Amino acid sequence: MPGEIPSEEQALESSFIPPARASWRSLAAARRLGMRALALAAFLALWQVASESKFRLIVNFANVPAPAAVAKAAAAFVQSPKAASHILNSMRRVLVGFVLAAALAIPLGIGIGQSRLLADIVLTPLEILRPIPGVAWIPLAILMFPTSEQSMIFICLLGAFFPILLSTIHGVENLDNKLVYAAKSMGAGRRHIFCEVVFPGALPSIVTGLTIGMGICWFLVVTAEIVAGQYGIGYFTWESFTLQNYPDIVVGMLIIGVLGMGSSASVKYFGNLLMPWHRYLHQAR
Amino acid sequence: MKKLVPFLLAVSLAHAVAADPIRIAIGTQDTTTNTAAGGPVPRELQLLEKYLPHDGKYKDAVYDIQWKSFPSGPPLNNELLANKLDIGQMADFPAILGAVAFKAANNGVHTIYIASLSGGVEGAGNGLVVPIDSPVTSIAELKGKTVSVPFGSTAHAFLLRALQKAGLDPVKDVNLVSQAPDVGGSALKSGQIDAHADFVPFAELFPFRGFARKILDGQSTGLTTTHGIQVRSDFAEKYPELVVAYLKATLEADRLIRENPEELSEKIGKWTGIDPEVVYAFHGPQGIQARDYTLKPEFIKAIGEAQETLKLLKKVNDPIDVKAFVDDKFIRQAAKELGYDYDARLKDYSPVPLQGKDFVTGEAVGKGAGQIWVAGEPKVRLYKDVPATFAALNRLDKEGKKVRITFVHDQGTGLKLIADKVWYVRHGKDLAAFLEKSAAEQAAKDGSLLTFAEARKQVEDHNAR
Repeated sequence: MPGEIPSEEQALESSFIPPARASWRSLAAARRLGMRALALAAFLALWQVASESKFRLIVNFANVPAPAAVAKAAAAFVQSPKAASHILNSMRRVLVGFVLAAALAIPLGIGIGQSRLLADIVLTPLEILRPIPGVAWIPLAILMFPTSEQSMIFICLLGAFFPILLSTIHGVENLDNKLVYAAKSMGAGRRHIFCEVVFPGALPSIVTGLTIGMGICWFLVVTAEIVAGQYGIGYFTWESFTLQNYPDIVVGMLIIGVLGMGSSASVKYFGNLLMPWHRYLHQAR
Repeated sequence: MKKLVPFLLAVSLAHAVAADPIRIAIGTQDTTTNTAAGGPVPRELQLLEKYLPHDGKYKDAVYDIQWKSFPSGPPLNNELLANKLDIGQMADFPAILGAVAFKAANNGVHTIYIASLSGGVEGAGNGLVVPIDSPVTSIAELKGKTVSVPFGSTAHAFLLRALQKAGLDPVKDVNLVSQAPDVGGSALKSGQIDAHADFVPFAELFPFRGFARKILDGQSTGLTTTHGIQVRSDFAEKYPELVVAYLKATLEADRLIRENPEELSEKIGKWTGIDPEVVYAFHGPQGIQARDYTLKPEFIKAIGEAQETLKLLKKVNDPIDVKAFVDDKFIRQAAKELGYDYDARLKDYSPVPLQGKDFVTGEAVGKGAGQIWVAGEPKVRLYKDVPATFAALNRLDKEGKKVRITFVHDQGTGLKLIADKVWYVRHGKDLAAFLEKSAAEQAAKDGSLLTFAEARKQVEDHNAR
């Protein structure tokens, strides 16, 4: 079982790390963390200075709200009774869109990767659809679905679908043929080859696709929530633009950024849990 | 290449000799039909060029005229604030939001509201539509339904007021969502929403395009709506003459539309993508909303009320002084230079009157006459009343002539209506048109309530007898 052996080895390895090396590692990790926090603080300070001094040289900061103003708006947002509705509605749309995208794209990608015929049939239309931006889909998304909620989920789904699909195809196609031959020579059937060679072999690539897809789902949340606004962080951002409420726009942008980063990270985390051998290989390098 | 080099040289030389060009960047709303006199008409007919000064301070001036069209006021505000536009046109609501945003930016510049373009003192122009196959005929039936409207727009205020008047709580009784006009149009088609409220021209455009029916006009709320012109204070201080020149161009555009509404409607339709028939509904005589360049007290009050509504919606924290925001000196100057009597127009509330001769009998007809625009004809035909109009429609059908649009006028409010999607009441030989079914039902107590098709049939049967 290829899934089990490395995980044991990995457990073995971590128990054999000498104490000195472990503390050095955590020190390095702390230093990196500190470095990142410092960079973030410097970035915020630079932004504040640029807004306050009304910096303008090609990029004009005169009308860009300063971090202090944004922080104030963020505090007001968090305290507003609608904050939870905005965030939860968007999270639900993104999550449902993402799960549906994965459910469609992974099997399709594996199929395309394994069957030239299927690739010939579906790849061209998909390649034509792929570069179409989400915002261009809005009218059709509205016409195609009976509720606006479904239209919004569809737009989020579109974002995640293609990166997952392409990564899955890539993962299957780039599988080392020697592994398949080896399995075959040991008498493995088609099902075994798929479950124990092809799928685990493509999994790292699929997880990468899922991580990117999750990011793009959030990328499209503003676009999706143009469809019908009432609650949703994308709608909140869009409404703030309509109402010329610039600090709130930045609050919305930052929330989308943080939620997007967080959900991509969790996809990556859970993906790695699925393939301990991969983590092992990664660390050994 | 041989030609290009001297050309480039000439261009760069010309550039070196001439003074820095003066930018006049104007933000328009091409699809917001009632602002046509401020945007598409002066732009396409180059009226601004005609009035820009070339003497005195502007002897050597080179002008860099930029026109940009926006689907609504807010993105236009954004560019005004970013100093990418000098002049912009929008309704009362976005005007206030823009002024508040300028105040918050605190960069020493503000906007000045300098003239009107169009207005419905009683609220005409905003409207509520339902999908064409919807059984809903009144706003009260929307209880528990989903209604969309562009939030923060003049139509939003209309909808809130209309719901309240119908005894519905905008928060509890209906599910209000925000949708821009284009999105609302698609959502009506797919039935994702039960109704959509919007500003000019969408409550007319959607029914004209055949997928919606208007059930309520802004007029029933009495809530004034207006579109006007704003300028950045720094531009107005530096080049007041140019502001006046631009306003003169809009006044000429207004005159051209008044003198030849059919021709201009065709052109505006071509320039903006809004069907000419719908353009005519607004810009023709007795139009749905009256073009108006004066800053009527009702319009200024509407701007103030817009701010109050936005405060209630908690969308405005730091209010502005509306009296200081509105300044009529530029439009007064422009009117004076063209020999117009501003004060007389200020007191005049009547739209361009509907007058002419009945197409059949030749007798003089006026307010409330029926109108038919027959394909291929340069002028809209007039008919003295609804039965005469329908008789003409029946004849045109037999002759195989295509009718572009037919207008009748509401018996109660005088509002111009697209004839095929409203209600009729017969009293003897006479037919009266109504937008709202409830109004028609009330009037039908001693007559009978009819649809367009039924009313036409009755006219035909009557004439056949």
